Amino acid sequence: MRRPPASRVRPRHTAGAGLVVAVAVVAGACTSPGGPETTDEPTATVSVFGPWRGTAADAFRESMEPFEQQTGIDVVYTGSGDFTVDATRRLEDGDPPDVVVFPQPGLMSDLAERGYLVPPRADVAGIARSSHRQGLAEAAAEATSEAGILYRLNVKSLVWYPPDVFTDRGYDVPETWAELETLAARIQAEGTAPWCLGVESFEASGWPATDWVEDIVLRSQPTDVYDAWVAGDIAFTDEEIAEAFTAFAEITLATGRSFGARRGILNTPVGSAQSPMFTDPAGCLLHRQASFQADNLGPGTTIGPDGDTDVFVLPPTSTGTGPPPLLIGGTFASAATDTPQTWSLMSFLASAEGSAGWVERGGFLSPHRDVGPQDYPNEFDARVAQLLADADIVRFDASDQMDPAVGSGTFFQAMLDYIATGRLEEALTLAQSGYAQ
Amino acid sequence: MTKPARRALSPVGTILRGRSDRSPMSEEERQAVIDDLFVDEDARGPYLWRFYVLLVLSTLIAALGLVADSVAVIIGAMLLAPLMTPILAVAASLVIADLKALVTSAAILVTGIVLAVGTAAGATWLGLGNLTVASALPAEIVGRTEPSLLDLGVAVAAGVAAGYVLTHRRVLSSLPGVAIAVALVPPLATVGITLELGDADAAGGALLLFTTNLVAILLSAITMMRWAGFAPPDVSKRATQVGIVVTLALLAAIAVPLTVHTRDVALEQNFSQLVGETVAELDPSSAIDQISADIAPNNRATVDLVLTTTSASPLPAWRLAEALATETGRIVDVNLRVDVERLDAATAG
Repeated sequence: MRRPPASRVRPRHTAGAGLVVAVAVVAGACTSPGGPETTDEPTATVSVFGPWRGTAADAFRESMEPFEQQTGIDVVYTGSGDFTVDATRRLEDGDPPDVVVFPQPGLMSDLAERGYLVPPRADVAGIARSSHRQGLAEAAAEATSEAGILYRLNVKSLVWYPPDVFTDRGYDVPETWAELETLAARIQAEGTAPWCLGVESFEASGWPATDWVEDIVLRSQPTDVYDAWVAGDIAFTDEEIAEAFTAFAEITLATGRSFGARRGILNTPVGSAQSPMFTDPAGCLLHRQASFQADNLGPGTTIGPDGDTDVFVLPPTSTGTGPPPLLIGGTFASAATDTPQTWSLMSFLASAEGSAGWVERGGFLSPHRDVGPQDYPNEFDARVAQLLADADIVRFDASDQMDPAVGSGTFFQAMLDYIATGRLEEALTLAQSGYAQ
Repeated sequence: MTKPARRALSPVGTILRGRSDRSPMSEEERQAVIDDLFVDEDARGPYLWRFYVLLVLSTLIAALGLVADSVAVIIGAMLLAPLMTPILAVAASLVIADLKALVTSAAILVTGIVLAVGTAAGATWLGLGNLTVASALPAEIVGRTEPSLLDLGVAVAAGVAAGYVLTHRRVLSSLPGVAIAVALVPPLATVGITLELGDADAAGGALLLFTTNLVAILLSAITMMRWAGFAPPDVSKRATQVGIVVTLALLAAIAVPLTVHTRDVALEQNFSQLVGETVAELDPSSAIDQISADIAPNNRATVDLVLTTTSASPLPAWRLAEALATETGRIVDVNLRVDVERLDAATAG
């Protein structure tokens, strides 16, 4: 790609000392155009608003082509880098797209409760129920209060690492929590920060740290504690959750544990947190991040045991013989208008066909029963699908399901404060305070 | 119908056939030009030493001028730059069909090019690079990374002038003007600076500009030398014709990327203008502080934008992206920063 032409800089006007810059808002977005309106009849379009940009947005657009060919309806996708704020404002301002794709079911159910979304029609919900793997449709319906349909899955309990550096330094992939601790200590002793971590993500800054805490709770506590915490029946200030916060701090916030230390963690965008792993010498060697991290890797970066980076599952803390628990995330689609083309697209998104193009392209974990590991185009996608199929304990991301005031509000802020100050009590109280709002 | 006894040659025919209706240069005049351009083997050491010293100095001055965004300093470097001599020597070698002189001149030219790029890259690595960043290059550098057909026109005219001055020694005082017009060292310094800053696209643009200048000067100078009767009567006409055809082919090869480049620049300027109009329509209270637009292949466009607004609800990036996508039919990516300005009651009075 060519570099942009010269920046044309207009001298800033000075309107006296009274004018001050109060806020700087940084955001990004991308949009695909509608179809060419060359015929006399206007082309029907259906607008979709979601969080994907770049590679993921391209993949979604491409996977909508069969729908456009079958129905003659053009799908116009707009992706926002500041999705939570933009989606909420669009709906509140009475400017809804036809379909909204949510990475957080909690936000979706909140907006549905406030009347901004239209619950899936029975036929659409039926398609999802009959096509999704057993248990998944019900879990998704519960997580979303039936405000939308599950579209894409991701496995969050993964640790990304550079296999070549592991081989050179004689490291083994850890299979227990104790081995992970030993490995991290060894990496640190040999002069490298073990963990890559960055939590900057516009209004959603802090979410990777909430995932860390959730993974630790899911591993260190019985699942009913996790479920009760999600439901708000166990408080952040309770011992079980406080212990997970402390464990997170010991692993990632102690001196020398993360690349860039506390300031670096707070200022590094989520998408580029793994970058120091690929410098020479590597700045950090472990990065706990979901399967969708594949979207953030640079072009040409290969995944696999012989690739530039590979993954292992965040090990269990117990010594049981079963597979480790998996924290998963989902992307959900919900209707915001009640038009024939909206329901036509929603039916497509609920079916396996609605994501077949993306599965084929790679980087998409399907919730559909008929899509097995053999249907994925690469070893990484197939392996993640197999992990999900084999797991005994699977839970949706906790913060995504909590009331947005907590799940994408005070929980995020608490993690940012905790990373900045290390003060546990204040962070726990702040996280819990969202329930009182 | 009878043919005229002697068919008049067209100017192009005159040049290609190596004939001129004008009197050919005298042997003394030809020798004076050859003395100017070619160095005897025993004097080559001191000549090369002077050539490389001048080249390094002029590149350093050009690099400093580019980073300082100073036109005057860059012009100083152009006047000092010695690259024109080996280029004209290559042209003259082709005209007089002297293979040995051609190899020697081309070797000096190529080593000079490499040295100039290396000098600018080295200076950037040593500290000059700390004064600028790849994302906000001075206008003098950016201007040299976006060559267009206009640059080709300038280079052709300057090459003609160079050939004319060389073969008409009474107008030698015009040579500094020619040196400024063709500007060989600043593009090479730009290649070195941008390479060291890791901006390969910009370096490619600057290299295209240099190559454009180089090829255009070669072609024009060869043409002018032929026209002035610089080729000795005994030279093989076929040899000189091959020289011209090769240079013409090179010129055509340069014209293709330049045409594409010129079209892209025009597209991006139009797109930037559309962004400005769309912003004004969507949020009249905002003003554009910075804009850079890039039209990429695959029907995509990217806009990086800094806006200042007094509006309480600033323009969201998605709305601008949507409007631009609808208008252009492209997939549009918008990276937006909005500075919200508010009146400070305490100081506004």
